[in-house]
Amino acid sequence: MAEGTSKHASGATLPAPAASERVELARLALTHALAVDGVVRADAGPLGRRVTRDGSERLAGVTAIVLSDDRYGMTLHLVARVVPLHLLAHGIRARIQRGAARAGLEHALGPIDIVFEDVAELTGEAV
Amino acid sequence: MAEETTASSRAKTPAPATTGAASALQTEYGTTTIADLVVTKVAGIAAHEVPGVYALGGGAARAIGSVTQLVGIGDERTQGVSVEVGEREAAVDLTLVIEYGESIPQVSTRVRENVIRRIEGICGLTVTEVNVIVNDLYFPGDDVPEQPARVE
Repeated sequence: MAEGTSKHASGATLPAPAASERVELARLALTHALAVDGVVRADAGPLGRRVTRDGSERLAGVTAIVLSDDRYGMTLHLVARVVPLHLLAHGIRARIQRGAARAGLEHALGPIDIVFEDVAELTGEAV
Repeated sequence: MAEETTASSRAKTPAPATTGAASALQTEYGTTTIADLVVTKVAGIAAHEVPGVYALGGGAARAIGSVTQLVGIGDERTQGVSVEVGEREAAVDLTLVIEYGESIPQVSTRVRENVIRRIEGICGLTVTEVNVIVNDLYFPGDDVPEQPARVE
């Protein structure tokens, strides 16, 4: 079966449903956060619950929850290098906001909460 | 052998964290939360950076730490460090082993200054106090291996 398709009960091959705006934002936020210099990796937590499901795929370390104004509040759980973390958080937010604007999703992007769970070297090894 | 070098009291308690074990920096675009583990590691690294500090942790902590590090679950950087983290402030307790010959008050002062500088610079938290307990002294000869016997 080709990627991005699913098998219908009748046997017909249907295109996979498009990701919801929530999942699109979660993927965008995670991708842009991991691209920022100083971010080592995302952290799904010891029980692996800090994830957003995108079909069969799991976006580890990011959750998106709808708010009362229909925007999505994002929470990113990250492991970073030993750098000024508050400045790093500002950089991550700015990059995600720019990415959401380019993708036409800025209307749906709510506050971006960032949790630095640990510090580590670029290899992922704890310092 | 223990000497309390702190002169401060816990009159100024850090504000309680909103999420229990974490600290937060609030902005209009979202919250930045720094886990206790991060502050603990930064404090440990900062203390290690000061000349005259041989190790962190009491004797028991170091003995257990050496075993846990051997099996890959321990972390030397968090040994001997205890933190309380609030929304904007942190308080740190450190247990140190200092090299014999160094001035304990001077080393303690330098440790305190470096820990405050690093935590404020890296985490953006205000450090209300750094309490230093000098738990032991290190003598350079302590880790010299015994001379092999001249006769069998």
